[in-house]
Parts: sequence; C-alpha cells; structure tokens
Amino acid sequence: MAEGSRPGGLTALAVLNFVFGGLWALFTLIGLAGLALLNSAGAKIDGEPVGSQTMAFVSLLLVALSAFLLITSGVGYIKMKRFMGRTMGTAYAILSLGSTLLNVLVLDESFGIAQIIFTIYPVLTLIMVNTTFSDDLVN
Amino acid sequence: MLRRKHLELVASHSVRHGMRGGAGLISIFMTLITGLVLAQCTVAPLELMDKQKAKFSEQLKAEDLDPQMRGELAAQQGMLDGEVNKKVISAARSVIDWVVEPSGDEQLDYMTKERPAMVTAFLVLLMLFTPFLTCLSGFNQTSSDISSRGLRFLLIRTERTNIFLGRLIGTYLFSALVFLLLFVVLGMYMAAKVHVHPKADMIFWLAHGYLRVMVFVMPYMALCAWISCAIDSAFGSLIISLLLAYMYPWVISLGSKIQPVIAYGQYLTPFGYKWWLFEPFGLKFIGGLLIMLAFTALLTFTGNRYFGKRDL
Repeated sequence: MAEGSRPGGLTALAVLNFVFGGLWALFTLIGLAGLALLNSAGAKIDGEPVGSQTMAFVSLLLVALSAFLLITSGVGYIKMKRFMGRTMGTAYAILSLGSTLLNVLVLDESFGIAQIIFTIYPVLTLIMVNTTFSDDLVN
Repeated sequence: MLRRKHLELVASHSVRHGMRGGAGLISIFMTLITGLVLAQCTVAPLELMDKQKAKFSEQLKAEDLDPQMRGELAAQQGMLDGEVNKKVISAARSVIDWVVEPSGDEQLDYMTKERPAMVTAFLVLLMLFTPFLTCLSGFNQTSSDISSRGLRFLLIRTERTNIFLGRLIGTYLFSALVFLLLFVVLGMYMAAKVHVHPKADMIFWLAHGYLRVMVFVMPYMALCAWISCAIDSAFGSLIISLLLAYMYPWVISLGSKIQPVIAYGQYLTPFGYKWWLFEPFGLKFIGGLLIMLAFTALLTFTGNRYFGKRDL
C-alpha cells in the first residue's frame, strides 16, 4: 500500500501512542527519582522492606517497557510497518493487559472502573491493529 | 430523489468505515473514557465503602483480636451495611437536584425513588456531555471529503440527498453502537459490583437511559451534518459544532443570572429540553420526544438544502 494512503484512524492511533508513550516515559522518570530518594532515605533506616522495593522496581520496568513499545509502535503506524507497527502494537496491548491483571491478582487491588478505563486503549489497539488496519500495516 | 438502496449503501459504508477514519477512533475512545469516568464519579463512594467493609471483615478474621474490639468492629460493619443505601441515595439525590434543577418533587422522586438513584446520577451527568460526544463523532460526516474533492466520486453515482442522509444515518448508527458498548460495559459492571439497587432495576433503567440519550443525540447529529457540509475543514466543523452546542446555553445561563427572563432563551435549542426526556411518562415526556424529533427534522432539512445547492 502506498505511503500516502495511510488511513486517518491509523494516524490518530499513532498520535495517541506518542501522547501516552510520552506520559508513561515521564512517569518512569518520576518513579525512578522517587525510588532513588526512598533508597537514600532507606539507607539511614534499619529493616527496610525489600519486597515492596522489588515490586516498585518491577512496576517501573513495566511502565518503561510500555512507553518504549508505545513510541516504537507509533512510529511503526506512521511508516505502516508490519513488525514495528502491528507486532509491537500487539505486544504493547498484551503487556498492558497483563500488568492490569497482575495488579488485580498479585497486588490484590480490587477490580473497579479505574481498571476498566486502563484496559480501553490496549483493547482498542489489539482489535484495530489486528483487524481494521491489518491490511495497512504491511511494509 | 431518495433511493433506498443508495441510502443503505452510503449508510452501511459510513458505519463500516467509521473506525478507519480518525474521527471514529477518537469518538470511541472519548465516549468510553468520558462515560466510565462519569460512572466512576458516581460509583466511587460505593467502592470506598466496599473497601472499608472488606477491611473490617479482614480485621474480624484475626484470631488474636480481643472480644471488646471484635464487638466494636462488628458493630461498625453492621452500621456501614445499613448506611450504604441511605448515603448513596442521598448523594445521588443531591447531584440530580443540583444538575437538573427538577421541575418539581414529582420529577425528583421519579428519578431517585422510583428509579435507581445511582444510575440516574450517571445518566444525568452523561446528558451534559452528550452534545460534546456527539460532535466528536459527527463532525466529519462530509467536510474532509469535500475539502479533498473525494466526494466528487460519489456525486456522479447518486443524488446529493442520498449522500447527505446516508452519511447522517450511518454516523448516527455508529454513535449508537459506541454508546451501546459503553452501556453494556457499565451494565455488566453494575450487575456484578453494585449491590445498592436490585440488578434488574438497574439494567432496565440503564436500557431506558440509553434510549433517552440516543434521542438527545439526534438533533446534535443533524446539527453536525449541517455544519460539516457547510465547512471544508473537519477541524473547523468540530470547533463550530462545539461552539454552537455549548456556547449558546452557557451565554443564556450567564444572562439568566442577571435577568431571569433570559432563561427562556434556552428553549430555542434542544439543550433546553433535555430534562424533559427524564420526566415520568406523560405529556411532558412525549413533548420532549417530539421536540427532539422536530429539531432533528429542521436541522436535517436545512443541512440537506444547503448541501444540495453548494459548490462541491
């Protein structure tokens, strides 16, 4: 398919990916700074809880990975690439849905409307990239 | 000349390809997010109480709890159970009273006592955002095709009326599907998690609310169709549709605080009649329905007339 015939929806999806990717990257930086601050304060206190720090680190890693996948797949949508767009977009959606599930099951967070809100974009991405735009992401 | 087959073809194409356009995607995303955030606003106090109850029962399970503390916790949990209904209904009632300014106690009782108050609170908040969500899904019915000259391919195949009405019907159906998705998600969530009202009542009132919201969507979709065919820029069409949908009611609301007579100006747009759709079944409710249909017919006629004459 020619570069010029990119559907408007795919462009909108790419823009949303950049916006969310940027936000997630910002949250990662803020989280890292917070973790470093806690670490330096924790060094002065005995019996620092190691488990919660590991969980925080894993959460940050997931957010950073989501940011990377969002931005990369956004570029893939713009260039209408198969791997960079469709595969990376699907990977982001699965990762994001997985981390929501992890929050509910492992961290024992109760399932509420907030969790549904966080699943909207990954579900939309998963459906659109693999059905509506599957014939466009072929380069 | 209206041709049924052509109309069906244009409308079904518009629905199927709604997602491929940027407007469709933004419409789905924004409708779901806005709807769920509004639902969160109404359900949040309930979720908080549920969390508190879970905390109490966890504390009660502890074996080394002294009997006096156990008694206090059990009493608090029992009190919370009794208070939930009252608190939720009174919170919903105050939201409805503040937003709707009901025509009388009869309407307020109908919305809060006869119907599940929590669902009503959500529907009332959603009604305020409905013109915004409708403009988001309807702003690009023809404008970008006019500016790209893409519409000329269709002009040689069918009459302009079929294109205008087909796109209008298709976009309305697309919007109806998106709202349906929101209501289905909410219905499932409320049936599973909200125990304040009977499940059947909540689902029934949500279904009713969906139909009432879709009636309110009609005139705004017709307004968007008119603006969209009159302006060659999709973004311009969105901005003007939003300004017309919200600026006028806002100015009237400001003016009515200075001079109360100005408040009657709200009855010049569908926004002024929106709460008539939430009246108990009777003359006012039927009047509200007819007025929405009349506004839709008027705006569709004007838009179609303009689209039929303009240079494409």
